[in-house]
Formats: sequence, C-alpha cells, structure tokens
Amino acid sequence: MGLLNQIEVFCDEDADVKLFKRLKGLSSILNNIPDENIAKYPQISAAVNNRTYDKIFPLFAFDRPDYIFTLAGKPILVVEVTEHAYTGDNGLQRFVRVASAAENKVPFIYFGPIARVRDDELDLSNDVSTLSKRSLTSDFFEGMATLHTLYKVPMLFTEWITARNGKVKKVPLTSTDSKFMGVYGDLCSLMAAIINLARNGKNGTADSAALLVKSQAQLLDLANIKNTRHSDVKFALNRTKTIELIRNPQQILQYMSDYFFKGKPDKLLALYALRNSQLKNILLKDRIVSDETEISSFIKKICSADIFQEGAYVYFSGYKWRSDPHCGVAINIYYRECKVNKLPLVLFYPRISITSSATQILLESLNNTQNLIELFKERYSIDFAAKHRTTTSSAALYSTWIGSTKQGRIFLRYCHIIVCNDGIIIGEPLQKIL
Amino acid sequence: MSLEDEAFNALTAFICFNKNLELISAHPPSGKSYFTDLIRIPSPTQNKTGNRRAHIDIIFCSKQYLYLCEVKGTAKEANEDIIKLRSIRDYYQLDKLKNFIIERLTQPYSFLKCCSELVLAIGCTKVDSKLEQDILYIQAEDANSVTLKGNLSKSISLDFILL
Repeated sequence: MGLLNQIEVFCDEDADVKLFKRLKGLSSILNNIPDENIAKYPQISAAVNNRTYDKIFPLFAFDRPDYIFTLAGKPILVVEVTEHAYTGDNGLQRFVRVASAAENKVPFIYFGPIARVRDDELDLSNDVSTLSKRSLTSDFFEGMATLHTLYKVPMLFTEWITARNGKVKKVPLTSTDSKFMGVYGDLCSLMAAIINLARNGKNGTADSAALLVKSQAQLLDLANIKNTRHSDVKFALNRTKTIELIRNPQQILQYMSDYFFKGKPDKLLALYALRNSQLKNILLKDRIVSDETEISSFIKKICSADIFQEGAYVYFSGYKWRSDPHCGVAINIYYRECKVNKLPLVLFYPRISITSSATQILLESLNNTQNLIELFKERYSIDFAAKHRTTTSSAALYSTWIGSTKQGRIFLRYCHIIVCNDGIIIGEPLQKIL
Repeated sequence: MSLEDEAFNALTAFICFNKNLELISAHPPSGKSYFTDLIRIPSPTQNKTGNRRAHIDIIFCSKQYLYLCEVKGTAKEANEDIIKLRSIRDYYQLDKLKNFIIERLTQPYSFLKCCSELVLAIGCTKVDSKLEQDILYIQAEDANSVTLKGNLSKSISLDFILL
C-alpha cells in the first residue's frame, strides 16, 4: 500500500464525501485510501484557530474547494467538481479556489463541462432540443494556464461529459463501476497519477508523469481557444488616463459606452452611485484620511508611484455587496492581465461606501431622489415605475465596506486601489510600496 | 444533522436499495447531489407567488406510480409543501409531467415510462399532523425502516416491501 494510508481527503460537503467513497473503487491507488481518512473539513471560523488544519487552511481561507488531498499532512492536490458552465463572469466565481491552490504550489484539477445547457432555460423550455449549449468562459482556462506558468504547478482540466439534452451526465449511486468509469474515469486517473507521483517521486511513475504532461498540454490548448468578447467593464488605460481616473473616478463613464443602458436594470443603481461619488476619504491599512489637504498630497504620492508608470488595468464591478462572482473575476484579471503585464489593478465598486453615512445617503435616495427615478425613465420609458419598484425592492442595494469579509480580504489582497462611492481604499500591493 | 436531512437520507437510501422503486431525482434543498439529475418544474402559481420553479425534493417511481415527495423533519411542517404538490398535480396531466421529467434526465429509467398514476407524498421522521386524504406520508427513520401512513398507504404498500 505504501503511504496510501497516510493520505487524507478533506471534503467540502457530505455529498463530496459520498461521491469520493463511491469513486475510489474505480482506481487501485485511490481504493487504498482508508474510508476513515475521508471526511468533511470544517468551516473557516472553526478552522482558523485549530492547528490540525494549519497546512490546508491557506487552500480554503478565501473559498472552499470540493476536495483537498494531503499526504502525511502535506497538501498534494486540490480538486473542484462542478456541473456548471457559465459564459460570462459567473463562470469565474470558482477561480478563487484555483488561485489559492497555485499560490500554495498545490496541483489543481477542475472537473466540469466545457459547455452545457443552462438550468434556467431548461426549466422553462417546452422543447429542450431547441436549446443551445453555453461555453465556460475561456478566461477561466487562460487564468489556469497563467497560474501554471507562474507557479510551475500542474493546473489541469478534465471534462464532465454532457448528455443529449445538454446537461452533465449523472450516474445513479447503485450503478455499475463501468458506468461510473464512463463519466469519472479520467478524473480518477488524474487524481491517482498525482497521488502516485507525490508518494513515489520519480520511481516507477513514468506513466503518471506522462499523463500529467498530456493533460497539462490539453489545458494550454484550451486556454488558446478564446470565446470571450470585448468587455465594457474591463480595460487597460495608459498612465495619463489612469491618473485622471484616480483624481476623478467619474471619468470612468467615458470608457463604458452604453453599458448602463442594457442588460440588468440594477446597473442604474451603480450608475447613480457613480454619478454621485466623491473622493472624500482614503482608507489606509490602519486609518482613514479625510482631510482635504492630506488627501490631495496622498493622491499625488499615488500618482507618482512607479507601479503606475505603464498605466493600470481597470475592472468595474456594479454588484451589490456579495462575494461572487466578482472576487473570482478580480483574481482572474489580476493574473491574466496585471501580473503578466506588470500593471496595477484598479477596481471600481461604486455601490459600496467607506463610511456608513455615505451608504445611508445612497439608501435614502432609492425612493426619494428624483435623479434616480429619472434614470429609470430615461432607460425604460413607460415601464419605468414598475422597473424602479422591482429593482429597489431587494435588500442591501448599497452597503458599507467591511475589510474582514471574504470580498474585503480578496480585494485588499489583489487590488492596488478600490474605488468606492465616497473615496478610495489602498490595497495591500500598493500599501507595500507607498 | 437536521431531522429533515435524516428523513431525506433514510428515504433516498431506502429507495436505492428497493428493487420495486427507481430514484429519479433527489436534491436536498441546501446541498448538491452528484447521483441524480436536478428536476425543477415550472410553478403553476408563478404569477401569484413570483416563484417560477418548483423544486421537488425527491422524485421516484415504481412500475405503477410516479411519486413526488417533499421532505420535512416532521409532517406538521409540510402544509406549504402539500399546497405546492397539489398545484402541480392539478395543473399537469400525468403524461405531460412524465415527458417533462424524461426530457430533463441524463440516464434512462425503465419504470418511468410505465407508471400510470401520480402519488403526492411527504417524507418525514415523524407523522404528527392530521392526515390529508390525498397525501401519502412516509415516515423514514433509517434505510431499513419506512412506515407508510394515510389513506393511500394500503393500496401502495407493495411498492415499499423490500425485495
């Protein structure tokens, strides 16, 4: 058995435990992992001060992958299993898990469909044969390829095949091994190969090494098949335009075309917040700068920093206070665009304020400010009142920044500047050099 | 583990190991399921409630019956689920419902084409409510022991004898 009893499999949910216990019988290597070594790992709050999880903690400090494998306590593999595939930014919501694995030099396997029919379209369709598959955004694979290049660690993909109706193939629990092999065989082979290499090094593992090389090459090929179009919310700017933008955040509107007047109606809430934004605060690591003179000298300091010499990459997030998918998008951009091209990341988040008083003003505007209603009139004409009512009926439409939350920690770690409604937040990469 | 999870796990395990029954779809409300397809039925009451899709916790069938089953910790928590199940039964013809389900599956199920009657069911760990005439109550404590209650239980009991 050789070390296989020292492999532990940490699973996100009960369903993941159940799946792995069923799959391990498909591979002689996986099958030697004892059942008692396969268990759920705790929520972050229970793990943060528990030394048992010290070595795997960085792999789920931001987001929870489905599986973390360890050998004698050391992480050797992270696996994500998902039946979803989204064309747009939603597809990137799991990218946080990929980046955490790479940054900790742990091989990663993503098992999911390349393209599938959307659940919401299936639900409402009278004829499923007319539905078309949507592809997972190629930015995901490109991001994985970038991480592989930067961290020299396997970043692999294996496809969850789909059925004739465009959904991923499910295998009933009581099915035969051969049916499970048909869907999960490649995933099991890759997991076994990585475990084999981790426990045996180079001795007698040529087949495993060859399988990883082949699989890595397939991922790099996938990364080169671009399926994304121009984005209104992600773009690079030169130094002059970047400095203009930092001094006057509303300048971003000139780069966003008609973005606010197409698609989801709550874009208008972001537009309203952006039009009413002001640079009144700078949030540093340990204090808020609110004095006008100090703000002015700080902005000068930022603008003269070498890091902005070649400009910046800008990402506009019009979301309300929620972690997905823009955390994954931010990290994906950080690696694909910023790290590779040595550009700082400037993230716009206008529905969020640094101070609670600014949030309060925005919340009061939801029903009282004619300017917001005018935006709905301009976009929706006669339907504007109903659109305004439904768009403003959910909770937390405008919120105050909290640095200790998942999105707070992720944005602070990867962004140089976060532009909020009432000021800017200096992220860790910029804190280090100012 | 909540009572609802206990009932869900016991009932799905019972169905898996009972050769009279086929588990078509089993999705706990708060979790994911790798072993069956997610089936969501367009809600007949969507205009009134704004809820466009009805997710059924467990769909299973025998050669004769198609079961739509909602799971609760105890039966007295199931009032709204009974309303939801009845609205689906009253709105959809059985053949239309079966076709809707078949088109959304990724694996074939041999019983599904044959079954000819619809049964609305509540799965729970304890039946502690008034019994509705048109509802089958399945008290599930573990995979080896389920008890049927309610008006329908006698006519249906053969499906639940472990072979």
